[in-house]
Amino acid sequence: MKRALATSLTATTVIGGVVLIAVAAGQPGHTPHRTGRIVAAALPDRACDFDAVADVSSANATARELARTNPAATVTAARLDRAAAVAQARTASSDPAQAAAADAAAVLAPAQWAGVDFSYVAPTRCTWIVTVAATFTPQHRPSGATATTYSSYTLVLDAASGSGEEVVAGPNALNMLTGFVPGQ
Amino acid sequence: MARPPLAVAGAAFLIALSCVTPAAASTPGCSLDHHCYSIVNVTDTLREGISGTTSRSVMSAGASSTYPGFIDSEFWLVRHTSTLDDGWVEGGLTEGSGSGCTGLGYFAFAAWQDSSGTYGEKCFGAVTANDSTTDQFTVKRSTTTNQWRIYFNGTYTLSPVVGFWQGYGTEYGGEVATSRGTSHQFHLHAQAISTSGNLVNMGDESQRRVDTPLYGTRPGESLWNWGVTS
Repeated sequence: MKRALATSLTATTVIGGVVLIAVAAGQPGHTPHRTGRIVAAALPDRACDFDAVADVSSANATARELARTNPAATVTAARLDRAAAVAQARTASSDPAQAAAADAAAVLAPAQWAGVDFSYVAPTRCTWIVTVAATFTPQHRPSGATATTYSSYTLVLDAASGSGEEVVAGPNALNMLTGFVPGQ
Repeated sequence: MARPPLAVAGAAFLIALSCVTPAAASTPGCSLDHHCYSIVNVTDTLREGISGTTSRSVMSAGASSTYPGFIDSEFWLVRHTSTLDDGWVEGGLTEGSGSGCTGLGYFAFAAWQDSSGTYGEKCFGAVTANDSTTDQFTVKRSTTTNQWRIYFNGTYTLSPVVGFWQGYGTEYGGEVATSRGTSHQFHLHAQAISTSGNLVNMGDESQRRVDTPLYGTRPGESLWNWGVTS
């Protein structure tokens, strides 16, 4: 009896799925849902240390405060794998639905190579550098400036904790899809 | 006998309604698409930086994972040779949803846009709001031409080489990009860095922008108090 019920449910699901696909294909202008791909980055991963911690004992009070409050300054058992880093980076898009379907590439590299220069982050600490081919409208701008919307952006994350460190977008921005590195 | 169940049902309905009703718009008209400002913006003299202090006052953008937005207290150096879009550098405090600073929270940040239109934002990290704490931000030249140091209380981050090393615009005050913003009063003191490298008062501080429902007052030279009208 149980086996018959299971078979029936499966058949129903399959039939339902066929019906849904047929209906969707019949609608003019319909765009099938697409899951964003993680494509090969244009640059290789680089050696780094997930547990590297900066010595802030001789730093000023603010650097010590930042070291206390920010996970990128501490050892943690957490690790972001490539898929998790890309998933987090997609959420920075100004169009999350588009970002969910967009191509993205990620490179693991030391914080110093990624341009992270805060005194409380160890230069060798692992970061994820993730470029997403999705719309990005920066938040900050002076009074009177026009909001610019970019077709891709790159987010730098602490690879252990996932805390954000930098975002860049535009013609001179670090880009893991194209391999562009400013100044090189 | 029927009344208690009805009362319970009514209360449950009201509770459910309150859960789906959007938060009240404390800063109506302000949004990610339409930023509101309460600032002093001086544009008449060539400068090589800006340095100032801001209280680390309580503020909230009322942001969530489904309602992005932010509120800032900050300092800008704007290139301002032809348009406002030919480059700028800034540093300040922000609350809400950030791009460089992932997640929700109260952060110190730096941001810039170079002369090609490339945008960048760095997150100094999370800090704890405290009305009696004073933070200093400075935007000044680094040792590399067209590169800036953005200081937060003596620790700094570098911009990339952005294509300019001076600007006509210095601005300081508040920026609100949410309709749900609230804040205590911020107290700012700012000075420009002259082409001689000296800290000087801003100059013509009659140039201001204060969008409703924000307020801004000038208690003295190079001083600015701002906040969200409650």
